[in-house]
Amino acid sequence: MAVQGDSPAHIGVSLGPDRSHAVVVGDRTVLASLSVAGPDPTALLARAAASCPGRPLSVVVDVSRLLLTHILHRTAGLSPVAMIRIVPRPASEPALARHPADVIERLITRRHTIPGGHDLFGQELRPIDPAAVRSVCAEIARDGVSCVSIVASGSSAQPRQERVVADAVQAVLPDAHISLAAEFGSQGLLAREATVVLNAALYAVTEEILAGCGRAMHRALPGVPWHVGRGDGGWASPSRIGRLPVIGVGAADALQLLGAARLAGSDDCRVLLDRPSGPVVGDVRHGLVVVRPQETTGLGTVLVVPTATLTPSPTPAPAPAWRTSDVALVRADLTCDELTCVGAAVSRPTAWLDEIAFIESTSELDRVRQDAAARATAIATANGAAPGSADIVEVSTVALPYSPSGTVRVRVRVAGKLDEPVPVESR
Amino acid sequence: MSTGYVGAATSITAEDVPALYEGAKFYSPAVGDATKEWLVRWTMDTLARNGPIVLVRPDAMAPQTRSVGLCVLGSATALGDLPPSGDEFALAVRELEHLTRQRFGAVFPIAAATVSALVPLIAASQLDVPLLDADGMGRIFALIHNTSLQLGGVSPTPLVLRGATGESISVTTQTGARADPLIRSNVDTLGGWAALAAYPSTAGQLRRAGLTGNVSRLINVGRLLLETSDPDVLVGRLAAVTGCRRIGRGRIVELEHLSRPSDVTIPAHPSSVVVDEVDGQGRQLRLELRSEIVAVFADGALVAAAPDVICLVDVLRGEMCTLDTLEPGALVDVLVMPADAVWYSPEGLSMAGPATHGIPLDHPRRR
Repeated sequence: MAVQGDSPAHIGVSLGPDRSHAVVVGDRTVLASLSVAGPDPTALLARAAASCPGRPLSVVVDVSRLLLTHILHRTAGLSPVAMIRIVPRPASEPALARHPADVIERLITRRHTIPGGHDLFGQELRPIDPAAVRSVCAEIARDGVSCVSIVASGSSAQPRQERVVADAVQAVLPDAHISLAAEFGSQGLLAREATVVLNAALYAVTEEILAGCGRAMHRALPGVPWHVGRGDGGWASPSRIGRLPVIGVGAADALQLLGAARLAGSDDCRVLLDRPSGPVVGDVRHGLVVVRPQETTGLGTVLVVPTATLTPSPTPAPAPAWRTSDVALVRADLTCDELTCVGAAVSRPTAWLDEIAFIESTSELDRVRQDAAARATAIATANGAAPGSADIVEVSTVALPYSPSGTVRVRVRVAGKLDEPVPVESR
Repeated sequence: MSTGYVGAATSITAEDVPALYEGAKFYSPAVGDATKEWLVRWTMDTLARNGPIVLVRPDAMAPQTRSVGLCVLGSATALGDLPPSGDEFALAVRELEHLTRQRFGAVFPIAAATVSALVPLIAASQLDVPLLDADGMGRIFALIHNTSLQLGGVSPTPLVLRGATGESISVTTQTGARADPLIRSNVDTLGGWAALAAYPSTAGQLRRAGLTGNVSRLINVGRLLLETSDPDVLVGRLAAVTGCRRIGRGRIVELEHLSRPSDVTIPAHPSSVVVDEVDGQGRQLRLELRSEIVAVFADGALVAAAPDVICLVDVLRGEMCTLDTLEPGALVDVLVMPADAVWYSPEGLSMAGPATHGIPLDHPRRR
């Protein structure tokens, strides 16, 4: 692992409940690969700093394995959540009154329904019921919960009712953490509900993890900027992840794909990863991991924050030809933990936008796409991208089936730049 | 759960629901999975609580048994963001009973595909009536009168729409084709989707004008889809059961909108998907969309068109690729399979052939 030049290095870190890992990446080479027992980043970052040929440009930390462990196995450490749905009518069927995934439902201490809601275009279906708002707020205050999640039908287009309820809750519980579905956009009431429940439940534990990272960074690498991995294979600032911790869920999967692709020097490839449960494949396109809102690996429920698409490979290596007809197949020889760290080290600030719009002409479509791209760029900047550095990587607009003519779904991916390109070769 | 082919079913249990869902998606690949989690759970819970649904072929019921068709009218994306309270379909049936002053002894899917294949199970369970193993489309067409029932002289009206808002609308028309334009704007006002109870009829009429066996076939196709994620294996097995064939495999390179003259009678505007073939002949495939894929051109030649069922398989994931999630760069298999024979009759093609989508060419199967 010889140093190949004088370019500044990047450090990628993956914290896990049993072992944590780090790599130092610089000038086309993995310079060092380190591992310590437990989730504490203090010793790991100190060793990574010592292995770095000079002051690193940045550090990116993946905390997704810690988050997943808390969600699946250490729920006692998560904050109990009061869930408020705003829909025209309460569910009359038990299966529709709850979330279908037990992993979400067990985080909810009490459910409330407030009459209200909008359609996908933001048209009000039912005005919010002030008496119901007051009643629900009184119940929540009586229960004394500190985390509240709110989801309203149509809130991605019109978040007003969610904000009205949030303001009312905040008035009776000034210290409450309130998570609104409108902050995440996208569609699907239950997927949005799962996202805000996890987001609220993860507040406290994420705050603790990030505080530990901040202290370790201050001690080992004072003044070096550090970021946190996102489920889409990019990164966001610690303050952004602290406020929206659910966007860090699933980061390890995406970072492994990204790390393997960068080790192969490819921006467009299919990656084969060896997992204990068997090989899986995922794609990298335009230098970014192929992601979508979907059932998140390990969780068993759909979130609206995008995560990597991993599919079981039907046969062991060598990979089947059908998956690689026109792109390179990449199979890295590093461990998954090392790949996560490499991916973290070379990741970029990213943003994702998924919304419904209405067009009446192709020129209006251009305007809708430009508006969406501008908003996605603003989100990337809020995530920590240097102003003016973010590029539109992918835009797709599809006609929404069985909707009024002119209805389109717009998805935009935006990525910022590293301070310097970091092409990587394996040891 | 068994994954083998079981032939026509006589009951549907909670364990059959995941396969039924996947099979239903195959016959209407336009619609994504925005409703999957709660819809499958709700259906399974209902069947687990109330017991299996009795599935009866129309010719096994007394011909005079009154029956009613059910479906979700509108956008599945809207349904995903505005889930039902749970009583919409059963209440729509009760309102139609009140309107027609007749009690229904069975329900059937107007279209045994997508979410509309599952909601009749729930209504049958809630109303404690059998589900007829027949439908009126054998796939999904955008307009509610595009059914074999209408071709056979059964009117869609009187009908009842019921929304998640708790509001309802009843419509009676002189001709079936008037119903869709009368109710479509109401669907938008109800939040983008509504429970539809329509085609009040008898089991005898279903036997004559319905497409028998289309519910049980969904379970068999769904089992195949759940069994493998290898697209080559999957396509081969589907071909054996459904008669589908692969037109080509390629990468999506372009999504175009308003690509053909538009009218307001059919939901969703015309759009196109351009696929560059990566295997085979290196052709450019152009898919014309209008809620469903209505035509495929290969290097300019029409190779498949409605009423064929045309769908895409996501090669990476080895599963159906829905039209609301398409993106440039995705690798897809383009599949086509024949619809029910009734749709290739002159009357069927006149109702649902390529010309109805502004493509005035002879259907490839009729040349």
